[in-house]
Amino acid sequence: MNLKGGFALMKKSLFGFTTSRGFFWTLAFGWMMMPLVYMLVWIAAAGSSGIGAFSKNDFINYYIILIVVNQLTYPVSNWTVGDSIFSGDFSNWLLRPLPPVYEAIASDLAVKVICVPFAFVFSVLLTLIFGLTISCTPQQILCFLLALLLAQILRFTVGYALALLALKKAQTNAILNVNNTLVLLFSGQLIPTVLLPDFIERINFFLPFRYMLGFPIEVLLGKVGGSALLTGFIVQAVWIVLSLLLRKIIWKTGMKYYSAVGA
Amino acid sequence: MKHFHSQKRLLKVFIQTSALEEVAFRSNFVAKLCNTALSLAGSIGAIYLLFQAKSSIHGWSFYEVLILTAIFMLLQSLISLFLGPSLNAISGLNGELWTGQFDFTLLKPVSTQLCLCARHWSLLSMIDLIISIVLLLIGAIKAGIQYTPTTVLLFIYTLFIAVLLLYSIMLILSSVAFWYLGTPLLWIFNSFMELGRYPVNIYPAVFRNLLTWILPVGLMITIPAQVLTHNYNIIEIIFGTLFAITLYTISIFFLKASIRHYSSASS
Repeated sequence: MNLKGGFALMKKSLFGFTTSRGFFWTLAFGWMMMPLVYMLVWIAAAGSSGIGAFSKNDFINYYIILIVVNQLTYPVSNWTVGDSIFSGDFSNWLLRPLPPVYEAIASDLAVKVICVPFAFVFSVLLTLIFGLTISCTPQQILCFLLALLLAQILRFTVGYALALLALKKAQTNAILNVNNTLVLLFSGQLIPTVLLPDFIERINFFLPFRYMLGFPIEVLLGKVGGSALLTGFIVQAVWIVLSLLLRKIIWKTGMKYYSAVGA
Repeated sequence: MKHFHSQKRLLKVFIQTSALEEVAFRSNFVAKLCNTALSLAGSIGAIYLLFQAKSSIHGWSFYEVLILTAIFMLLQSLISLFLGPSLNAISGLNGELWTGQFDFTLLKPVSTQLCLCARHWSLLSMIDLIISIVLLLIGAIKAGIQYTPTTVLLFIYTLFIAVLLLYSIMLILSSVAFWYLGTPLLWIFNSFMELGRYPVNIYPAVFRNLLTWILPVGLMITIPAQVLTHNYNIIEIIFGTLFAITLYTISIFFLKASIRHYSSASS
């Protein structure tokens, strides 16, 4: 663990990115659109009677929080890791006396520092339009923070492992896109996962996607409690371990193929 | 006539070189297919879930929203087929305007506008294009609507207006990069396009007005769908036509002025 080096990298990324913050805000704006679309659609569909366990206000609360949580958990570094392997820049990362993952974590944190305030402002604007009616206990907030942290780690490690596939395949953008689409469908962006049809919801319970985004929001809104909460944390932890193992395997095999540039 | 033939040949070369670039990464092709299938399943699945909960939303039925989604996909795939990649290669991040490569594009003895708009092709988007047309036909047949020649002609006309609007907007937004580099305006516009996935008239008033009168996403996507479902307002179509003609004229003038303003890359 070289925390000092990691901190220096983070500062470097932050200063570098701050100069082009307009660019990152544009990206962040794009990531907010899908949640916004589905927020508007579900508000229209819920009308006054609501859908399942969700009333119109629940949808508003859910999606306003989702926009911030999505920004907090979105790992931008997937794309930069994939690209740097493709272009050969990855060799520079390998030569540093730091594990390459530091570079990914540093740029991820830097992007979050720049983009989260933007997402927050956007959410406040939506709150002004639609109103936020939320009340939660300190216990819910603590559980939310834990679930959020685990969600960030999980979403990052899965993305990082997939990006490392570039070591062998040179191009991974399409695979990362598939991952992104799966997250969109099953993490609770398209629809809160509890409202998925029974059969899909039961499978989805064991898939990692809900635990990358939807789970912490449900915790904050008080939609999960008791034993469901505990199982949720356990599934999150298990997926983190599995994705770390996956990363290790991909790293070991990939390193044998990595040829700097132009595979 | 000779001019036309040379343009056709040029277009063929552009498409061929783009195809060669794409064939180089075969595993990407499989993943891209997976992604298309997944996002299709996602879009239709979302509509299905929506209409499981409600039988009609603000007067729209399942198949009518399916028609609208198909039109959305059709326009999206047209963008990603050639317009998006080509314009992005000019005005996007590290595009020709950044690197100064645009000097060579200007010097080529061919139409600059053609090079701007159709230089890079992403042929895999043809899959999306075909799927969107199939989806449109399925929706149109299943919606149980009587089609007269007038409806079909009016539909094709509104679709043409939509493409014209889209082309003009994208051209204007990329021309801005000639004056002020580093604004990914095309991306911002693409983000707004996402809001056209669903009929704009189910949205709250703020968004509905924004998307009809300021960012004509509603004009482009909702109106053709409304024509097919016999639910349109002729005033809106006339307005759309005038809007499109004005924007197209502005875009052509603006592009010419922007190219004149081009002073190559400098520090």
